[in-house]
Amino acid sequence: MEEEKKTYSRRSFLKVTSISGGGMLIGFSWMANLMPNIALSKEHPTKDWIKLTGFIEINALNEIKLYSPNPEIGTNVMTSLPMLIAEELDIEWETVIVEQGNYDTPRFKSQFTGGSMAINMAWIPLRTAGATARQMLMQAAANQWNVPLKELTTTKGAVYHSATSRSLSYGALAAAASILPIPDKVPIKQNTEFSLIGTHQKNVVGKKIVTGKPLYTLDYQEEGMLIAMAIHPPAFGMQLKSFNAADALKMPGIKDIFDIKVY
Amino acid sequence: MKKFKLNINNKEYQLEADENTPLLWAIRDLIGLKGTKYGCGIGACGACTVHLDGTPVRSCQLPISVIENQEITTIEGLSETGEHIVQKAWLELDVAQCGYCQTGQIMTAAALLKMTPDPTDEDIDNFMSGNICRCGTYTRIKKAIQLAAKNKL
Repeated sequence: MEEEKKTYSRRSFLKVTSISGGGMLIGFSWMANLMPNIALSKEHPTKDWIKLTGFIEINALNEIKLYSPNPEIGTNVMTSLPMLIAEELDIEWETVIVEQGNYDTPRFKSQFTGGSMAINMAWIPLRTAGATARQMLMQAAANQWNVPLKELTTTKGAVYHSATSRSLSYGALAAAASILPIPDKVPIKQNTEFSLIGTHQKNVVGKKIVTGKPLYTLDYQEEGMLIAMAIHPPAFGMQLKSFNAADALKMPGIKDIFDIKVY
Repeated sequence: MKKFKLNINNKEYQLEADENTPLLWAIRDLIGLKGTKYGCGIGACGACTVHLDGTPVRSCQLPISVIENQEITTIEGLSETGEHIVQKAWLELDVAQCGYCQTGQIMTAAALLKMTPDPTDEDIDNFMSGNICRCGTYTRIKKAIQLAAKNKL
């Protein structure tokens, strides 16, 4: 185990400048997401999911839900990002439930996919999130068994104390773990210790895709929602001078026609 | 506005719409089956492919007024649980990336195999050439069709 001594434990500002020459500046703190939240049951009244960091939820049945913070644009980050968390958390990938995080920047911070940045930016923060949750689960077990943390090990979603042949599933420990203080320094694995990272795993939404179930932006519908269509100039660099919408406005269903200033 | 009857996935739907409404928007907006995707609206990308009596058609180009008692099949009707041989091959080879075009890819592939159960590479290339994939999953699509054709699943 390698002690992660960087300043990721509670706050981290990763600044990325000049992406694609656009002068984009992204500053964010992933680790602000590591706050325990035992009030989560309000969001899930039927399943008592306990939040361990902003990315992990565990219930008493030992079901583990991982949130993929970044949008999926076809690079399979919805599969690879949760793998980073699962690696450090020591859980069985086959049992993981992956959910796409909503647009919720206070919770997920960086919600940007592009420029080959997603894994790059998530590499340490998401692994630290997994490792932090794991350590809190181990601490909860250590407290319950009254044994030192260093005598505990984890595998496949459970904490073990081999000296006394005891074990508890993460699901049994999650509630106690969620109210513990967040540890400052959390060890993360060395690359040679990986068992999940570096393996091929199938697209987590593959089955939904082949049955036509995933919903994309264009599938979003809300009561009273209108559809806008943009008409672009016929060539790049052209500017709109004027337009006559009189005839178009007579067409059924047309509510309005207006120009918008882009850049 | 006129009244129309559509038989989609063995279910009859009655709807009221302009006769020029493309089948795609009847399926998506009036009936609410969102698995069929809008890609280009000009029949150039294949994302909106559905079956009309087993033949693949671009639903964005087909006004509902020209459909007469034909059976329409969408991705939801191919197999809701993913048991169709093409869906199984797709999963086996992990074909999809973002997935947006895959409805159209799968519907076209299913129609190909129905008409040509043992297609040559050239058959596959020709039949699938109208379905565009921005993620570039073409090589896996081809392998998946070959796998489904050999029926080894």
